[in-house]
Amino acid sequence: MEYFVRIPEEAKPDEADVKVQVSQWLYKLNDTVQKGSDLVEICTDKAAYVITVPVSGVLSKILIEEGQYFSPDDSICIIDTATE
Amino acid sequence: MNCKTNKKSSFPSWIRFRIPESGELSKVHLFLNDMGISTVCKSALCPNRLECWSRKTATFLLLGEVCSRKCSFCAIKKGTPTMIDLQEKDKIVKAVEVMELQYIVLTMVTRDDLPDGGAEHIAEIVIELKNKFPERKVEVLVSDFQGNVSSIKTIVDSKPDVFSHNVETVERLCSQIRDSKYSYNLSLEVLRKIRELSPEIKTKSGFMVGLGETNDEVLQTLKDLDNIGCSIVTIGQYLQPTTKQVPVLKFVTPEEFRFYEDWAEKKLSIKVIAGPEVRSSYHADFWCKENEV
Repeated sequence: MEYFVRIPEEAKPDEADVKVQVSQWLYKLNDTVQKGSDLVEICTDKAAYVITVPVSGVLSKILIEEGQYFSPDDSICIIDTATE
Repeated sequence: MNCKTNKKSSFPSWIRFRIPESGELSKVHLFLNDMGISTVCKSALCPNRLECWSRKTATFLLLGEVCSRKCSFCAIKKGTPTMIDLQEKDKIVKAVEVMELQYIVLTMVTRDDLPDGGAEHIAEIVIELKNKFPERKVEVLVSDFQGNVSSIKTIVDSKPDVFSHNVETVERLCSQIRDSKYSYNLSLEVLRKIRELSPEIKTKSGFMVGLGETNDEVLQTLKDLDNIGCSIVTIGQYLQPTTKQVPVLKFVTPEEFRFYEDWAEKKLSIKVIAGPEVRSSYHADFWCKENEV
C-alpha cells in the first residue's frame, strides 16, 4: 500500500505564502524506513525541521528533490508499506 | 510551484527542530483550533511549538491576534486590533482543564487602542485561574502598557506568580527592531516598578541575540536587568520568521550561550537561561520549578 507523506497538519506553517524547501533526504530511494526515524530535513525562512517516518516500509518514490520548494500541502514522498 | 535551487539548509546544525509524531501534538492542535484559542506559539511561528504541544504546554495569546505595534522582528499580525473576546476567560479556563496544565503562561498582543492597554482583561483571567486552580502557577508576559503604572498595578494585584516583560534586544538595537513606542529604559522601568509594587512576585525578562549586538552589549543588558532586580532572564537565538522580518545577522553558537549563563552565575544575582532554542516561555514550568517559584 502506498502512503503519501506530507508535513503533519499541526506542523504546517500558518501563512500560506511561507516557502518550504527540502534541504536533505536522510534516506535513499528504495531504502527500508523505520517508523519514528528521521526521514527528511526541510526548512522555512525561520528554521530547519526534521520530519520523521510516519509508517514503516520502503521509500519507493521521492516526489520533492533536495533543493526544491514545495507547498505545505504537497506530498513529498511515497512509502510502500506492502513491501516492508 | 517547485523551483529548484541547489541551496541546502542554510541553518547551522543546532537550528534544527524535530517534528514529533502525532498523538498529543495533534490533540492539542485540534483542541486549540476547535476552541478558537490563540497561542503565541502559532502566531509567532515558534519552532518549539511542536515540542511544547507534545508536552501539553502552550502559551496563550490574549486580546486577539492583531498587535497595535509594528516590531520588525515579529511575525504576529499588525494593524487595527480586533474586538476583545468576552468569552476568552472561559476558554482559557477550559483549556487549562482539558490540557491539564500545571504551569500556565499568558501573553498578549500590545493594545495601545485600549485605555488600560488590556490590563483589566488579563488581570481578570489571572484571578479566575488562581481561584479555580490555586495550586497551579500563572506567568504573564505583557507589553509595557506605555509605562502606565495603574495598568501595571492592575496586573500585579491579580497576583501572578511570575510577571514577565521582555526587553527583546540590547539598548542600541531597540529603536531598529522594536516599534518606536518601545524604549529600552521604559522596559527596565516597567520591571523595576513591578518589583517596587510587589517584591514577592518574580520578575522575568528576555531578549534575542543574532541581530547584530556585541558580546559587551549582551553582558551590559544582563547587568542592567540584574540592577533592577529581575529574577530570571532568557536569551535565545533570533530566527527570521519570514522574509518580511529583519534578517538574522549571526547564529550564536551553543558555547556562546553557555558562556552567558556561566558569566551571569559568577557575576550577577539573576538566573540566566540561554540557548539557541530558548524563547520567553520555553520550558517555563521547568525553569520556574528549578528557581522555586
